[in-house]
Amino acid sequence: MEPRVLPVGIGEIRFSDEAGSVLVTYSLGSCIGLTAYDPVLRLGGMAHIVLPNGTAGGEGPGKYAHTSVPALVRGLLRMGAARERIVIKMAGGARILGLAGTPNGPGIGSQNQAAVLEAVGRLGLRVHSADCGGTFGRTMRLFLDSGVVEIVTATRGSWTI
Amino acid sequence: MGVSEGSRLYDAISIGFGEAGRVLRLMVPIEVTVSTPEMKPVRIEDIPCLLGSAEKTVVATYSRVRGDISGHLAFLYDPGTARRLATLVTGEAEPDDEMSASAICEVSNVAGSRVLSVLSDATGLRIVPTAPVLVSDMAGAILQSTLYDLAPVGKDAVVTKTEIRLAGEDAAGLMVLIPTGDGVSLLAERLGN
Repeated sequence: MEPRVLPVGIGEIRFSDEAGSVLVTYSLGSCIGLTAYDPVLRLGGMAHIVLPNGTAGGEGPGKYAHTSVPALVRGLLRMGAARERIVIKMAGGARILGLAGTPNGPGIGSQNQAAVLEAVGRLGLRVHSADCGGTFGRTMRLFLDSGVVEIVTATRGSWTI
Repeated sequence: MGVSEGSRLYDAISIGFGEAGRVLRLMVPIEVTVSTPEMKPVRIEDIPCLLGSAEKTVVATYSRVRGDISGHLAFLYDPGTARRLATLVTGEAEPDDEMSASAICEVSNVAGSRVLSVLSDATGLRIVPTAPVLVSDMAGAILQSTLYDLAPVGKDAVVTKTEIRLAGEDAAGLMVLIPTGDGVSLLAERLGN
């Protein structure tokens, strides 16, 4: 049977405890895909974080690192996850147009990475594995049955983290 | 932006896109069709899906728009279309990667500059593109990075897009213009004078 695919849109957070389901966020560029997973209960969540910080204007908490990370962890705890078991993985934060005469200083991608790491650390948690940076886009999938996170690229193949 | 201002802006951009099509036809020795442009406000979150699938691999060129207004100008091609375009422009049956990239950038440069110079002439504003940069990646990743990494924009953007189709091709390229900041209102205001 084909797994049920649950897309996570830009700036969204989504959870699942459904056996065989897959949370997926497509074509991350400078954005960060962040997953949190409880391997015992096999439930997890995924956030598609757009910017390091900002003020939400009537939208949900998913868009900004400083609101999205706590909301992702809080949501998982509400579903019954044990804090000490939560496995966090992140991907994205690339600079796709790195040669395009971009403004000086770090791009949004690396700012997003730093903001997510800081927000995770502030919760007393850590990122277990990451696949970030570079100049290419990534699609990120979290398989709820195994906790495996798959990264797929357009021109460099795919791998797991 | 009112209805009449929007209509004037659409007319000006349509002329620009039409002119871009005309110069493309001069560069490529086969029939090139440029569709009637579509202009509409799009939620920023939806822009990565402009091509339908955000995950679709494309060959794209990107130029920043600079001068009195800022924005983004991108050309997105199916990889097969990009290869054919490079073959047609260079006259080589199998141009190498460097030559192909150069040819595709040149097409985008000539066509993109034409769009912006038409807008510039119509408004009296200085509107110039940066030299195009070529990337091959997921359409969504390119568009999303464009929007957030290079020039963060608000919640919505006015997107004008048109299809570029080479004779005998099922896949179409896409030319996309996205003014940022107060670019749309400034263009509309100038066109109203």
